[in-house]
Amino acid sequence: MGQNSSITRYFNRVHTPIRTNQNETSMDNNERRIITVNSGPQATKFISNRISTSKYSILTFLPKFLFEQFRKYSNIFFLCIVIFQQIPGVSPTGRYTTAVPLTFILCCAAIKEIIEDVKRHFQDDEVNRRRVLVYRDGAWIYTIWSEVKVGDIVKLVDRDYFPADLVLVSSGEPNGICYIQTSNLDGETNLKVRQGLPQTAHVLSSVQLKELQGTIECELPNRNLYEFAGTLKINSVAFPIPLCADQILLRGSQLKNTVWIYGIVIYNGHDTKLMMNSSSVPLKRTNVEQVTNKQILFLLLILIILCLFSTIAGEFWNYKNKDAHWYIGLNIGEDRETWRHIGFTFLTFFILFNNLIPISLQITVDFVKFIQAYFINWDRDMYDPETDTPASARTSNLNEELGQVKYIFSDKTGTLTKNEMIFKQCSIAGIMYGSGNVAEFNSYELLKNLEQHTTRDEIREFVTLLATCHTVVPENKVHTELPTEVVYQASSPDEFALVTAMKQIGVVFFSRTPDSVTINFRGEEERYDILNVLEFSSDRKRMSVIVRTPRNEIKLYCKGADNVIMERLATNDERAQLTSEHLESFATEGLRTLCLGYRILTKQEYDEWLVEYRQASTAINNRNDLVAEIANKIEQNLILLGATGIEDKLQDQVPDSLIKLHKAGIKIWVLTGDKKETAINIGYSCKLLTDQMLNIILDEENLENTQRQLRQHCQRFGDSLCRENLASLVIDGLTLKYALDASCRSDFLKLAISCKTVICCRVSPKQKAEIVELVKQSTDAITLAIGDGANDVGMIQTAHVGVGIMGREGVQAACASDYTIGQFRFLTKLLFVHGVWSYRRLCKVILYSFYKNICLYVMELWFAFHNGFSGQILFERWTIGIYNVLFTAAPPMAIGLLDRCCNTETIMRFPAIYKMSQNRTDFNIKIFWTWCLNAVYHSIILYFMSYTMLKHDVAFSNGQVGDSLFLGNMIYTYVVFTVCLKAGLESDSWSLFTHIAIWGSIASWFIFFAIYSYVWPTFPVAPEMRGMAKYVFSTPYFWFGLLLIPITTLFADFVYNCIQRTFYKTLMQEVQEKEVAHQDPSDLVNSRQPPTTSRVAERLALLKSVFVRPKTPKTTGISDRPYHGFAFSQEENGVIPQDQLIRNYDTSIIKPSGL
Amino acid sequence: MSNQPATEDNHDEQKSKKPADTAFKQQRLPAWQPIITADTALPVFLIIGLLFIPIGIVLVVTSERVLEYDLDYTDTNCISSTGGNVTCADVLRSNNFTGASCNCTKTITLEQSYTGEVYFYYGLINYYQNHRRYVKSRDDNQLLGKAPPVSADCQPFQTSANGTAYTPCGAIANSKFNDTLTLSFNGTSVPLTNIGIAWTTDKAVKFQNPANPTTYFTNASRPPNWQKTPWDLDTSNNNTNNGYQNEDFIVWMRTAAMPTFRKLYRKLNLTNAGTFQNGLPAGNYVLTVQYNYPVTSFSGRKQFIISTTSWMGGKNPFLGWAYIAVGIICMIAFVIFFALHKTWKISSSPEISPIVENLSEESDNVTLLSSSSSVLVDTQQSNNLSSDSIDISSDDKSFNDQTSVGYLPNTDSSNSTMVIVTSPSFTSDLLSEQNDSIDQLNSSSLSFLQTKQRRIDHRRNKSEPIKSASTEDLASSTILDLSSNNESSIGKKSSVKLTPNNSSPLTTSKQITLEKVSSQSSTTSRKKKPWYNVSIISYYFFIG
Repeated sequence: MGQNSSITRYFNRVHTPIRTNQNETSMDNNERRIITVNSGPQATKFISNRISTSKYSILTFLPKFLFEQFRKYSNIFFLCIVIFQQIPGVSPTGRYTTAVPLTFILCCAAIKEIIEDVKRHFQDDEVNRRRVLVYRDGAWIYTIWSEVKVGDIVKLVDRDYFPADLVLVSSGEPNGICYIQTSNLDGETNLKVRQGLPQTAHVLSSVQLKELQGTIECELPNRNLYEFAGTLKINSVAFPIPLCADQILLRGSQLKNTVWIYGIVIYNGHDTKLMMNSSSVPLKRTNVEQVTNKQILFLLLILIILCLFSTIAGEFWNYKNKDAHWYIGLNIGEDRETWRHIGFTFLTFFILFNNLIPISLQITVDFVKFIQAYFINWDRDMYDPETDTPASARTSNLNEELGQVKYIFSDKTGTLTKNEMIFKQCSIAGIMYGSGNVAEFNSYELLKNLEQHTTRDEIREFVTLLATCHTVVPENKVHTELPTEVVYQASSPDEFALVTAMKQIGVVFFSRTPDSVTINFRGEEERYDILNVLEFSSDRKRMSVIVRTPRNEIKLYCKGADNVIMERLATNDERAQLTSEHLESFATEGLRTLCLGYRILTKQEYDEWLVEYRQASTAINNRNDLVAEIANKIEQNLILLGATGIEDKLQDQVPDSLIKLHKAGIKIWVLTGDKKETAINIGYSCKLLTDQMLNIILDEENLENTQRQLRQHCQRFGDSLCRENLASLVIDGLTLKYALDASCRSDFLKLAISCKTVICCRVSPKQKAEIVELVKQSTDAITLAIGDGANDVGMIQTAHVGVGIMGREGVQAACASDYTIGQFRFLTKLLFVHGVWSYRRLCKVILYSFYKNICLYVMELWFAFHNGFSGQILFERWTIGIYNVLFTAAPPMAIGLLDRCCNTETIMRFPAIYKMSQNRTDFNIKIFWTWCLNAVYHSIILYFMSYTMLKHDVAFSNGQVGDSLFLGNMIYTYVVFTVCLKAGLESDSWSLFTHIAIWGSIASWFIFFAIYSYVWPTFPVAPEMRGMAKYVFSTPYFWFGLLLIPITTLFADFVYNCIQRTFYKTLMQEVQEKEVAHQDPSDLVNSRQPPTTSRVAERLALLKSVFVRPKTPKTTGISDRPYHGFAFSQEENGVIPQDQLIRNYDTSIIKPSGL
Repeated sequence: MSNQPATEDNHDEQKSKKPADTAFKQQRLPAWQPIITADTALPVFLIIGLLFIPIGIVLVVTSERVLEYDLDYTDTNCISSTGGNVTCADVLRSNNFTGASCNCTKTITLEQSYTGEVYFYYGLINYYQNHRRYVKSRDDNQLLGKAPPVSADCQPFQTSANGTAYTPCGAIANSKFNDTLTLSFNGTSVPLTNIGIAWTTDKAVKFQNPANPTTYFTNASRPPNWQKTPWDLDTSNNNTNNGYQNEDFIVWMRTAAMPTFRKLYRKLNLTNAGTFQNGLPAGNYVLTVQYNYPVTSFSGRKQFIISTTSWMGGKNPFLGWAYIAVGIICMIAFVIFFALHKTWKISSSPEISPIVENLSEESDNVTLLSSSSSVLVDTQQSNNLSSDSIDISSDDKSFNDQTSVGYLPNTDSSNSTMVIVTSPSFTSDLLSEQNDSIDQLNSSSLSFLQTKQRRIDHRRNKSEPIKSASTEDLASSTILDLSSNNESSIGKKSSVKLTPNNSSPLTTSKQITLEKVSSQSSTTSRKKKPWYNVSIISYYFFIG
């Protein structure tokens, strides 16, 4: 953003002239920033809240654009040619024949840049024009984001995004608490709690706000997301109050579950932490580009060799024939020194042959990619109606990489899953309720049993537990007793799902006071006093509350992971067995599970424990451990109630898409910050993991073990290491740290790439990027990273292609990505259709661009054999110059934009087609040079046939003879004809525009030729062309040649295509044929379909018995049973402990309106 | 937010960003997909062949009708008429090319009469009129009659020693061909004209004399090699063929493409009545050469050419022969492709394909291979099926390079074993997520599986009629067995072993189906690629 800040400042000056009038104070603002609140203008000038992500402004456009353009080698190359052409007597093609096309091409590039940048300006404007309520001069006014100033007090309501970095003053919730979602910044989707200072939390109305006067002193803007230091000095309070990160609301995050908040703007615009963190997207180079660049260098080498050869030959000819060929006048007036002369000759040839490197390649490719990107944006199949987001290509230069992806690195939350939890099934006292097939929990049976079944007491306890043991806060919209009106606020989506489900079966949790919860149990109001809350932590894997029931019993309700609850049961009876089975079935369906247990405490028991607990919770050292230990004491001898199954809702069609991606030969790695269990669960539910697979789990605590494990697994794979196996690997974040160590790295990589699926859990954003980097570096494959949160930014930027999921969560990942889509499922179309098309098209465009240039310009070499290596051109200089920009510009465009190997439906149905482009069968060194040689072959046929045809010079019935250019123009016509037809031959589909491009290009040459032959002497160009068209068109040789020569030239290509199509068909071609014949290609595709899954299943079962050694899963690292993930996504070690959080609430009090 | 201004609501109601549904934007433009196969190419070859051969014949005949006579008069054919038996070339050389002139005569004999328009050319060989320095050395503005200064391109023939520009300047003009060639027949000189030998556009537009040519040309310096000023080139035609507009000069100024070229020198003047009314009669002619132009220094040759023209121009049979050659090649290609096409058709046995279709329809299964497996299911309904030992040869030799469909006679009439090894191909990994992994399994596990498989086989051999599912299982296990051989003997080609038992119609149809399948698969792809798979499907059926 560094370069943008200058632009921003420029904008500031233009748009906020008032601010510039303010006096610059000589305050010491080098280390801190001082903001006055509510008391007059700011002492210091701050930048405005206007953001700009655009590349250029009107002033900076030209220099920046030129700088960018002339960083490209090809442009430098042609600039050199332009300069060489200015040396008098050197250029065989005049002075400006390269300069004009180059200028033209640069203009095209400029137009493209302008269009793209205008788009960015619009996007910025959209953000800048969002509206926000600001308290200014004692009144609330609406203003736009860009007008928000440092020191402003803003009011935001639920679901608003913060327009700048704010200090939280107060909120509509008790004690100045508010919830925010920071998924945009760090990818964590659970709600975070922020709390205003106690000294300001009472400010609940405009009147009070007006009295809030003072100054904020804080550190200068920095990019550190989690740290903040500052003080607030309120005039009414004597001493400054320290501010820390708990009071800071960052731009980019969103207010959730909170009615409203007041905040003071401290950093805005490009000073916000969000903007400070957004780095400019690194320039990614595509594989095709790299190969092309390498081949260009080769071609340059060939060019130089050609020039050297020609120079030597030319000089030799000169040396030998200088005096003999008196008519040329070489012996007269030759005053140059030998070396200078040789140098100039070399330059002559360099200019002559420079066009072997296609001048228009860059712009053609850029343009084609640009439009391809628009095709992506225009695709209705990738439009997400829910969020109203079409797919969007943010850069256009990676389109063809989409066709070659071999590894997908995916984030989990928000990408594969919706982060919406739904209560689906439960098992109470050994009876299972609900079905995995229906969308929501079906409560009928449960209610029936609650009435009259033998287990109805257990059911009662079960639902009561779910309604009481949680940290959810209810919010009664209108303060009524009507239970259906309750809206819950929860920092854990799982608890939210549970409580909501309870509400649906009529057990409504509707009121919370600091020491009690009130539930409406099917019409009866019951009040439970919360005695203690034993918090959830990832070590404990459980959460308990101790309540006093309305019947004055003391009960401990506990919910947690199955293994934790099961080992705490009083008895291990049949019911536990049944529940375990149910848990297993939940887990196989990919549900997140929780086990519930309870225990009745005697008064005495509880009192004894309470004493210990109080001691522990007031301990000075090691308090958390002590509390956990004491909590553990009471959480014993539980009675098992049952289990719940919560579905972490997947995004639409995720399993389908993943299967398709697998079929396309893509390996999928899920990199998630989630716990292992959750990740495995999701793996199962989106069919990334199946029981038929060989599932390897690596969870080691230290380097040695990791090393040993990795080695063992690698050995076990034997020969099939590094190939694709039906195996999966799950690795924990900590183990991953060791696995990425230099000593393990290669083993880990080998193991990982032997698996179809790799799931890495608990990985940090940095690790995500590291993994991607590792795969990128060590394999030759193209990687794609997909994610939606800021924690994915690293990997998105590291991977070859970064895809951001746009829509619900926010924009940070999208901003860093190359492509944004609304839903994960669109990835298949993006890859299979746009990727494959773009790749194939682009390859053709590049190959064709080289082909057409070599075909024409290598003729100068054949001609050099006939003109004594003097560097004479065969064609008119301007026709040479505009060959690329006019006569042969359209066919590659047509191929690049409209060529279709087969239609969307076919590709989408048969992902295996993707493997062709994935394996780079369309573009590699071999193919490149085959095309080049083909071009040379064509030029030989074209040149020598035309030459022989006109050898006797007499081409007219009136006995007149032609001349050099007469031959040249005929050859040129044949070349244009051949080259355009070749484009047609290489097209897989001819649309109307293809016809226009091909026939139009040919026609354009004829028209140009006809006109150009009449410009001299009216315009001082091309005297040698005068009358040429008339004579060329009037000789029968021309027309007979036009019929014969291009056909002869392309004959070999035609026969080759024919033989290849008939006998060495590629899959793509087979599918094409079927498609043309309107047959169902599934014949063909299914004919190779593997045996049904059941066979595979059996085989793998066999296989598994080979692999699994009689050891515990832990030591072998291979799981023999499905995992039961447990459902808890709770903020740990937050600002406010869970205990305190629920104690803060008193829903019986009306919330302030904040106005 | 009830107090929000109305505009806010309007602001929220944004237009949907759903992209427009147009054929172009959705990339659904109707398109023709050309598929060039032996099939579709056949008519193309035929048409080209049938079109080109007649054209070629016409062109060859046309070219053959053109009469041409050429004489190389560089040295021995041009002996100086002043005597001494020296060639004119030597005369020039001995005079050090300082403008000395030499005359010679040479008798030439035309064996046929040249009727119609007859053209006289001078030809130069090894003369680089296409040298860059030479081509460049002219000033087209000057030739338009514009006043000096002349372009520096004319170097080294830009300005004379006294500083005035050469008119015309440049190497091309300076080296204008200046031999004079006259022809006489029986003492009468052949009437020649030099009008109409240059391109009309050149004379009308490109070459213009200055406003006051006489003074212009006399004041200017003539090029160093010229013996006359431009204004003295041709004074016969009322100055319309003089100066820059002299047609000999214009013809010379159109630089030839190749170092061997000819330029039109004169035409026979047919307007004159008499001997030459209808062209040149056959007989002896005397060519008189005023030999001025030195070519020996660079081993050049000079030719005098007499030629008639056809509607195509001069004599050049190349184009005709090229047409014939390409036509013949197309016809050959046609024949070859036709043959290939035929054999290819036979191998795909079109006459049985209806059965396949029927079967597919019957089983409601569209896939070819699975249609055969569905046959199996049908069979099971009507027949008792029993398992059989698997006959899979892991021997490399059985993997032929070609698809082989073999019928091995089996003495045990109640057993038939059929193993199809389909060719590894692109298609084999279509929709095959599991398949990919199959052939890459750990060999140790494979050997384990093999033993396990044997056990299964054994067990099944004893068992009662097996169900289709178990057949599948067996088949899948076989895949494993064979895929272990992959590394050594990736059978790129198909091998079908069929051991028929009796000739029940159903069995036959099955055989044919499978045959069709195998041939399909073998024709569809034979490319060898590392990711190819072998998929083997084995069927066991036992008809009791």
